Amino acid sequence: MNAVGGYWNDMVTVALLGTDRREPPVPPPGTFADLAADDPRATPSQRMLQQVAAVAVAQRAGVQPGPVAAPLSPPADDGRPVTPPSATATWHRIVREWPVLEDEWLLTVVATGRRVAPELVVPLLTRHRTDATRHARALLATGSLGRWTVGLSPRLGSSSKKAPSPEAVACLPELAIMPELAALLGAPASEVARAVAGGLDSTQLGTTHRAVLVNFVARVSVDTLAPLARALDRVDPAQSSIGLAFALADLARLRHRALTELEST
Amino acid sequence: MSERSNRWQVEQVLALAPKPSSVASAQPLAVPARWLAPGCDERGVWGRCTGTSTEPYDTVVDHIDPAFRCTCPSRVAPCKHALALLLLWVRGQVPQGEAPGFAAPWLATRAAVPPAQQPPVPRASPATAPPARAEEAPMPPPVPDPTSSRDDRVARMRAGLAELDRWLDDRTRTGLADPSLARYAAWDDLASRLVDAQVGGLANRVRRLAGLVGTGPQWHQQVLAELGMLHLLASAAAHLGTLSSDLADAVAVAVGWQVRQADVLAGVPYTDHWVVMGRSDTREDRIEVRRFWLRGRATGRWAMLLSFAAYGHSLDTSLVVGTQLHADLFRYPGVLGLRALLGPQHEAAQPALDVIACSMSQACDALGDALAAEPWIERYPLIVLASPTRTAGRWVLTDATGSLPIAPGSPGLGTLIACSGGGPVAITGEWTPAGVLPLTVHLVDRAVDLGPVADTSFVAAS
Repeated sequence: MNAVGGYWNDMVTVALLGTDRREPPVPPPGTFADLAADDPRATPSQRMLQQVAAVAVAQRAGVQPGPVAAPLSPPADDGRPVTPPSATATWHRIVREWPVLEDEWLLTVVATGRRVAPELVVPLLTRHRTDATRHARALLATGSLGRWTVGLSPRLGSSSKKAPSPEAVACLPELAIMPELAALLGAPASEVARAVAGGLDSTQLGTTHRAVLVNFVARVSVDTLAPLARALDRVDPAQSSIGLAFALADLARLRHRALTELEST
Repeated sequence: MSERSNRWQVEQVLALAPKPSSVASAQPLAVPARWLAPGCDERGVWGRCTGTSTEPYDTVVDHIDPAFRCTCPSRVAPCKHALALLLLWVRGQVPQGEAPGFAAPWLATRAAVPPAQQPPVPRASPATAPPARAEEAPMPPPVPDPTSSRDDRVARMRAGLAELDRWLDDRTRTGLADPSLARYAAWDDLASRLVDAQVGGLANRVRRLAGLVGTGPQWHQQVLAELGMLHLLASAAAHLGTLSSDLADAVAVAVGWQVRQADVLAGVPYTDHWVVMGRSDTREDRIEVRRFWLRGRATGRWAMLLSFAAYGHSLDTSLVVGTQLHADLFRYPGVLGLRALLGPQHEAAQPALDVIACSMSQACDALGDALAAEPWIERYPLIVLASPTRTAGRWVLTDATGSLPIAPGSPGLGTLIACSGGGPVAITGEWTPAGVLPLTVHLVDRAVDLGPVADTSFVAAS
């Protein structure tokens, strides 16, 4: 430790006890002693404050880099391409507005042979810490970088001790859909659009069906999504379900974009 | 200057609130739906507030020489209606117009009487005063500045500075181990008196200092260094006349002397391609502060733009990290002149991915120069090409020339590590006495914003 460092430590000790109990330390020869001589203060506490300010300024302005530190060993190579920046933005929107789509998004990332952008690794692992299946899915999508990050920061690991089954990790979770709608999951786009948009227009479907309709749009065939969104846009604005129609159209468009941007790029 | 530049900022309105509950009462009324025919001109703001009474309350505010008039029964001035009207106005939700019958005569009378003869504006209580700090002093209410009131203010500031130095002296005599220092009230009482003395910059430093007590094994060292900075500022402010003009300006701003926005905008513009290098949100008492760090492509100089949001209000989202603006900036006075206002933009924002990063050693040199010029600054930006790594139990940024510690609890640390993959990356950070706070990782094709984000339950989600 240099003379200034030792002087500072002595001042910290005196500062803890107070100058009523202990005299301030004598400054080491040089700048601080010169300052004390040039501007002598009447009381020990005033002398102490003057020296504390001077040493604090000197230490701040004389900031030096610390010793060189060994870099971290890098994660294992992951040859998979990274998802495009637009997909990162889409994930943020999904978790903010339509989290029902997140499982499918993650599975699509893995199925298309990609890995998520590094800036999503921590948010994904943190978000699914308490759900073993989703955490395992997130680890698949983040790859070796995800495992490496968990190694450095164990709090990003799953909080569940039970390992999920590989089947559960690879499958989309089942969502509750009423039988009339479930029958339409594989139907042609025009039929789906007519049934959903028509149902909202005729008040056969309404806000009480919101949850099952959301689940339906989250699972219906991808080819159906664009026509369905267009049909929902045409629901009579005078109907009380117009808000639901807009929301479902938004969900359909987001899901369509999320899947096509991962599959096409 | 345009009406927009004369318009107050949110924190100026909050500073007028006679008690904290006034702001809470005013917030629900600060929506256009509650006001009939609101309007404003270069002198006043007016509107009729609808509420539970059969007749709306007629509210008028003189925003040039602040005064309030309201037909509500409240004896508190300004009442919640006046505060709500001002909040609406600062958010740009009050249209320009001609003063109606209930407002015009009063405003005309106000305009005719010299400010010195008008009744004083109720002073803000310490609890509601806005934050004012070295580099982020909010604008004051645009009160005319006649010599007499300036002299009064200088006298109050001097008294406040003398009181601060007495308090520091007492603490030095009795020692940091004194149990009374563990009580927030011990610090808050002093901070309140400093607000009264209109040295809000020092008051905020005292409140932040209170938060350091007992927070870690090194807290005595940190508190002692900060007490030294307070003593330095108090001493410098007591001798402003002997300092160079730039240094005197820097000290004055640091202790809380407020600079009018219009005066800054009347200065010399700094035109450059300004790259938005980083963003950082912090809560200051009851205000959320957003800091954008900009760097000039041609000059390499840093600048800081601030925005403020009270509860339920929005922070500025017009700037995006990783883009650049060809624009004029107007700097506040000071040696470093970091704080600035954004002037006219000459072209739309463009992506800016090629940033020039320096080594840790060069960053320390630049930081040392800045701290030698204004030792009391609490944040300074840096851009380095470095790797995050762990050594001796703490995270640091390192390269072949050395290392700097990363501030404990940095929210973006995990993402920084993942983005770096253990290798060197260009990182914009904020130096603080506790370490470097990572704000941005500049990757080849994008900039990843890692800065602390305001609590969305406090500020309105944008």
